[in-house]
Amino acid sequence: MRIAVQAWAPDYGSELDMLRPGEPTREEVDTSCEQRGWEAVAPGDRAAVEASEFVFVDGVRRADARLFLSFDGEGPLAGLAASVGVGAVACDGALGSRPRPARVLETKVLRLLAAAGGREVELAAGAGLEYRALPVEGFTVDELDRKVHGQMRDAEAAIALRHARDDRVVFVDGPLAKMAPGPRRVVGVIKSHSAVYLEPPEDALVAELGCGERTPIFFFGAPHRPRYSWYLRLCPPDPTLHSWHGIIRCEVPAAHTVESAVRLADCSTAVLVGYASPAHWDKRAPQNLVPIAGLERHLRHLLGDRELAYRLLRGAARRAGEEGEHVA
Amino acid sequence: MPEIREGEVGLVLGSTTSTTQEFRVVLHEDEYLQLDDLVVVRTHVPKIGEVATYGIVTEVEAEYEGTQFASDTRRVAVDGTLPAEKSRTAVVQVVRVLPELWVAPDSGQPVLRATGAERERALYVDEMGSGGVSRALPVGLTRDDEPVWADVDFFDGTKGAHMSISGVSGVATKTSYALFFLRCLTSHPEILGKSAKNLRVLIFNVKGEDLMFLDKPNRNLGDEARSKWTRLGIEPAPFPSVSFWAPESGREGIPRSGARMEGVQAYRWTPREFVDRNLLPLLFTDAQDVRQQLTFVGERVARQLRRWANDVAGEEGALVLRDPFVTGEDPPGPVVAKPGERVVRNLHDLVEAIGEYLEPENGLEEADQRWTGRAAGGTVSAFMRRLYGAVPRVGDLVRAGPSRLVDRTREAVTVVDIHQLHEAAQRFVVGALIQEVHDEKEGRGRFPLSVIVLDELNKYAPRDGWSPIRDTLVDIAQRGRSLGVILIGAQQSASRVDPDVLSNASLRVSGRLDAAEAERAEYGWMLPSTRARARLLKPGTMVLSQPAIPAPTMLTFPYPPWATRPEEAAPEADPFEGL
Repeated sequence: MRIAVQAWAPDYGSELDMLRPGEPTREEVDTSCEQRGWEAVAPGDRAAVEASEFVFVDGVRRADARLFLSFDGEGPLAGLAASVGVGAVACDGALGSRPRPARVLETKVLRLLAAAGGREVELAAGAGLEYRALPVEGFTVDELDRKVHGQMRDAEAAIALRHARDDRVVFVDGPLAKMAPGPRRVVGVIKSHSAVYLEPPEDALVAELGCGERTPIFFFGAPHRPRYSWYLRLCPPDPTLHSWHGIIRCEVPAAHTVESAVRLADCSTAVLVGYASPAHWDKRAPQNLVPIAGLERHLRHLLGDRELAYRLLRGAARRAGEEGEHVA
Repeated sequence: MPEIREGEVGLVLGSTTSTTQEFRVVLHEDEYLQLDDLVVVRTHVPKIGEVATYGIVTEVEAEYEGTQFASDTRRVAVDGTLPAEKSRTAVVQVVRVLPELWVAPDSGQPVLRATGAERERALYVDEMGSGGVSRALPVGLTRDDEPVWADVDFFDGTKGAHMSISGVSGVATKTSYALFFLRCLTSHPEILGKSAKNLRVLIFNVKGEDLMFLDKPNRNLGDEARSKWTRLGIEPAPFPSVSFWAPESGREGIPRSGARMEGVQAYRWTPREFVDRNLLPLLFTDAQDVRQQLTFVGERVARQLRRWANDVAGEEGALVLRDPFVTGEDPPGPVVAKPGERVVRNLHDLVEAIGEYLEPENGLEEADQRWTGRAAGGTVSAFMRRLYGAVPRVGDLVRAGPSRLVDRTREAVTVVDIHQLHEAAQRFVVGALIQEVHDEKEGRGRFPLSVIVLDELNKYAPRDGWSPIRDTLVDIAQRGRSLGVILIGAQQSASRVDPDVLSNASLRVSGRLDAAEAERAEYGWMLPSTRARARLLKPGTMVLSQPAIPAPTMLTFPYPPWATRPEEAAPEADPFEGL
């Protein structure tokens, strides 16, 4: 028997949540689209990457307070006051000269008050803490959380699309999901793996990838979200850890041609290893890329002090109650 | 971006607390603050209104905000992978709050560079003086050539007196600053007022011939230095009124000086002056002398000398010693030496004459108890040995003949050269002159003021040990304010100087300090940041502490317009021209 400890700190969940032996993929996956043998693809040529900047987009969210909303004596409905921060960082992509420092291109902070039952509730808790209404059709706490998450994804998508340009490659943290970037150079970077896409014997290749190597691209997701995807490893394999250590999955929408998708895949293998975080540096190393970790830190900072937000929310709730509405 | 006000350099930092003592400034991107810069912040205080907080920059810091690890710097600056913001902050020590309401400046308030009238308020210039008469004397320049003022009230005895200058030797700043200060003092009679009238300065030339050309223009004086002097309101010219004195060479009236001969007067004391002015104890200034009770014998002998000494007719300044009980009947006035009687014409004669009473030559007679008191034979012998030892060292300074005392009334500044003298003779001269200034002012009121500049104060007023000079200096330090005797003392290490002398100095100045010295309690008046910098000060940069300002001020002073070496003295017209 061999025991491997997950490289990520346990408070960040699991890198891998697909360890159900023999479970088949739920997707129709085409592994032949790149028209090459199913074997590891060597890292792309860095010099062949045409981009003056790489842009990294990410978002953070935080539950500031769970609320219960009562209207005219009716039983309480679930509410959630949440803060969301999204932003983009640009890093120099051109080779040959010393890069400029990474710079934050844009940040945006949202204060949302998700209310069950489609209710519209706003709450001004203080300067910079004006929570705007986010009606949610469902009633469960889970549905509120998903709605807030969706808002974050929407905001990320808007930023990613705004900063996508021909001379840039945009890497978005997480799946592209609702984003429809079309053939623009926007790549989703997925850090943890919960769905099974490849089946034996093809999935074995992922565990065998070397540093900077990738699988050939594969196609899935039709008809709703057809996309090309590939796995790549960000660090040298460590025999003391599990075999999927340092693996990320990237995806681009099917609006790309196979050639264009392959170019982006080679770009990702040429570039992303250089942004991988060292083990001591981040709790989700190496998958949490350095610019993204830096951006997240910056965004969390912009969300402000959590305790202060909580205190001000309680005060605002009390005042709202005195005016008739009941927020607890 | 909201517009930034003229002169605004940053905002009061809000991520740490501001206090009434200290606050931080986060600097605007295109502004800077450096050490010693003065700033002002206006804060609205409920129920009171606007309060202005003035401060001085004591430290400036820079960092990448949002970095955690040392290696993050590389990620930010070289790899360009980690976003981070460059942040620059300055630490400000509060020096004044106007109106005096001790509140901390509000976070986020704009911080302005204090200039013009604001700068003067930060330096308390408006508080220096009373009744509309300013007593703010410019005593240096900041790095950006703005004047720094000292409150003369704390120098001339009005509220305090004396200046203490510390600094390692070899950087030549202590004496240079003392002279610079004197020049400021004597160039602004309108600020000094009553103190300026007949102000007399006594200064000793201890090393080389640094001070022997104070009245000669310096040919190396550049335009930059000139403009600095002008900024201080002083014409860049040598001292206008100086007399120079050097010990007599052994030939009547010929001074023993170095490169400079013209305009230098010879000085010495006649045996009569030696006795009358009670200079004998000044031959026993070594720390060992106290331990051996030699000073006790010395005092008794000196007293007897005063009673026994008679002038000799026809020989100016010479003496014969006669028993006052025997001569009591004689008419007063010079006497004629009897045949075989010893005429004291110099120090050697005097020592021999004393020896006749203390250690009779033939060895049969007992020592004269009237001269020795009850001192043990060993002590008396030691006393005589020391006295004989002093003859070759101090001998030339005591000789009969016309009086050649140092005349301090001749010019405003009196330079007394002692650099070629043996250390014992240096102490003798310094002691004699300080005693003279002290005794002269006793019971005469403050004015006119006498200023004494004394380097190597640790030699004359050491922390440990006793000497007659130390006694006089302690008295001057303690009572000089009312006596009108002001001491400008300089020393390498304040920790080796008598604490009474040090603690009475209102103005304290320090140049570069030895690292260990800077940590001592004597420099408690410095801020921690000042102490750290005191080790690195360049020549020409000093720290000034004065009672009027709660924080020490860093200042520079310009190159002197007077020569400090013969080569610097501008050549005068060639006397052989046209021949």
